[in-house]
Amino acid sequence: MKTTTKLIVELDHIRKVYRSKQTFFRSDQKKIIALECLSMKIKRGEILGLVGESGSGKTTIGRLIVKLENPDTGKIYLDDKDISLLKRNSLKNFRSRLQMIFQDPYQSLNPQLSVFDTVVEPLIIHKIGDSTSRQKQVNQSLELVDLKPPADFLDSYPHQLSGGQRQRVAIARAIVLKPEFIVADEPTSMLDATVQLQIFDILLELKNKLNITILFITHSITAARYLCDRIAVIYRGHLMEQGPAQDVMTNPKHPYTKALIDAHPKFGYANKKQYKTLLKTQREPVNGECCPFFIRCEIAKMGVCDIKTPELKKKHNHHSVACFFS
Amino acid sequence: MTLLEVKDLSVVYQTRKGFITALNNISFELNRGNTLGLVGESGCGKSTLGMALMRLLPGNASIIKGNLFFENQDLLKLTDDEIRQIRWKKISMIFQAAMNALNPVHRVADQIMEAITTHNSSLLRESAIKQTEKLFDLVNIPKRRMTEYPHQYSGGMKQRAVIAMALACRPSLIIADEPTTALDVILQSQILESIKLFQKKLNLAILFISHDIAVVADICHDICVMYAGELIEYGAKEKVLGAPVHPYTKTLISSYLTLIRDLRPLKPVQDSTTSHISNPDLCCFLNYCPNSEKICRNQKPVWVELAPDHRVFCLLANKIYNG
Ligand SMILES: Nc1ncnc2c1ncn2[C@@H]1O[C@H](COP(=O)(O)OP(=O)(O)OP(=O)(O)O)[C@@H](O)[C@H]1O
Ligand SMILES: Nc1ncnc2c1ncn2[C@@H]1O[C@H](COP(=O)(O)OP(=O)(O)OP(=O)(O)O)[C@@H](O)[C@H]1O
Ligand SMILES: [Mg+2]
Ligand SMILES: [Mg+2]
Repeated sequence: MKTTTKLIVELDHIRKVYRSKQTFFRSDQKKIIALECLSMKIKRGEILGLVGESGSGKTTIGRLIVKLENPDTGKIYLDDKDISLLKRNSLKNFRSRLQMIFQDPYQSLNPQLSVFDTVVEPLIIHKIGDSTSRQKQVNQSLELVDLKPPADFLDSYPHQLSGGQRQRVAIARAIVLKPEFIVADEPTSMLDATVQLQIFDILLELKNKLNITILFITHSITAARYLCDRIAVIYRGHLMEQGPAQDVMTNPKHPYTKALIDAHPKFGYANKKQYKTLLKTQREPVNGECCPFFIRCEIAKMGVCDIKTPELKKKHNHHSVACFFS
Repeated sequence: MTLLEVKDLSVVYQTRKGFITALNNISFELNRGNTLGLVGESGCGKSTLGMALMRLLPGNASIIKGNLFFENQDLLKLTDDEIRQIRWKKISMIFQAAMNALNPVHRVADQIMEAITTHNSSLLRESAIKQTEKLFDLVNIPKRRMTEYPHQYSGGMKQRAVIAMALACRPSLIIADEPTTALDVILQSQILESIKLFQKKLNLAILFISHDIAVVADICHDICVMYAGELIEYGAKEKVLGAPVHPYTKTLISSYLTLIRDLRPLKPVQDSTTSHISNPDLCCFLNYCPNSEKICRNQKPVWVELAPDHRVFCLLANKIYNG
């Protein structure tokens, strides 16, 4: 199938800041910049992998796209339409087209709802089908995520399921509406290697058969390479590197991406090449503008990296990097 | 020295549809200062085992047989009061639902300090604060974020806070249920390194539950591989992961995505004519096993000892082992 280069979602110079509330004990308001000037394009029908360390803003990007939150500045477009302008009916329609699989299946599943109720709920909210067709769709969804036979699970409640089983219920719920776009936030983090592969194949099937676009959030670079067409690497709210999955993995350009690859657990083999781009002891943080990775970067140079923020620049082959020395 | 010995443990859950066997005849040992890795399929009973050791199984679970010897006393025979003297102080657990273990209405630092002080009431406030800071340091959370609430933390930060909490009372055994699952690789390797350091210092024993064999390979001395509530391969890491014999262990290892492997990994295939539910009188992996033979359809596997530190629960173990 030819992947059209049409965009489905575009993030344009997004900034998202979280502010902690003032309390009795502290009058200063702390700001956490979750995303800084982040622009990203997602093509229709692709799987885009979003990798980055814990706290780098991955979940925030997902939540902004499905409109659970709004950016402080910047715009998000779905099919060239600014999603901040959506009202009522069009918003409801929007919600049925985009689904999110949440990171933590312990928190995202309602403990009061059985598996059936959980998976059928989106169909009820969006008034799709009647009770027989709904039953069928729920069964199909559960079978897709390998909760077989569905009858064994329909009446179970979340507390009766293992972590991985919950994760699969969360996926079943997200795909029951056959959305166009899925944000999958660490959907397999709790699954063992064999089940993980099964889920990846389900996601690939959704992409290939139903042309569903997927934003796959993960901290596993190997998973990203296996599944994704493109990979975007983010660090502390900044996009550092972006390109075709294979390119980014075999020919990483950013020192942070290289550090991620170095840190990947070695199993059954010794890594031939070590990039050694991560500083053992961090530098003192800089006040003012600098490269976000400066304090941990082995190859950073004083007078360059500590005085300005590098912009994302195209290198070749749709592969871009934000680093002065790559 | 043996710190923990699990003997023939079987646990069932009662549900509306009857009993589910979550653990069937599990036996293993864990020495002081050692790490035992528990790997296996999602839903195979790993968390159930952890909860049983903490005596925190839910109400619909029952331990139908077995012993849990910890420091030579059977945890299952202790009264609730006695177990309270052990839980958190001597055995602590990092729950799989770690991120939820934090109370949303209290600051993270306060919760960790409380964990330190409730079990050690003689401790001065000053030194409790010091210890709390040390723990934050250990798990790599900046001090300035100590006073925040859990919802202000990212998934990975919450997980790290919970690791800090489990270490608060300096236990001799920690059950770590998927402790690094929500972390990126850089942080994961840092936390694994600090767990190793901490472990040496305190001579800590760890039961490390994970689905990630590479992580288990990194941190553990011995490995238990489980499938559908049963232990199927057990031994030294080098043996179990280096020269696996049980067909399930082999599948698990070959499905692991590595950096250098470009080929599609191997996947288990199920014979579509057989059901998912296995026959309790036969091998639990039978329906998925690429090696199964006639004998496997006739009798339950037996433990085969290939070496003093390598045991396999498979009728074909010798055959597979010898080529
Ligand atoms: N509701 C909130 N209030 C305050 N700060 C928040 C809130 N949500 C997220 N943050 C902060 O924003 C930053 C980005 O968080 P986010 O959850 O997007 O990270 P992430 O990349 O998904 O991390 P992880 O891999 O650990 O899940 C973090 O520093 C986090 O603490
Ligand atoms: N309270 C309960 N009531 C009924 N069944 C339960 C209950 N808790 C767990 N189970 C079932 O027992 C089995 C083992 O669950 P457990 O949580 O121990 O698995 P696990 O190995 O930790 O899996 P994961 O890796 O996915 O977390 C699963 O099939 C699960 O559905
Ligand atoms: Mg997240
Ligand atoms: Mg579990």
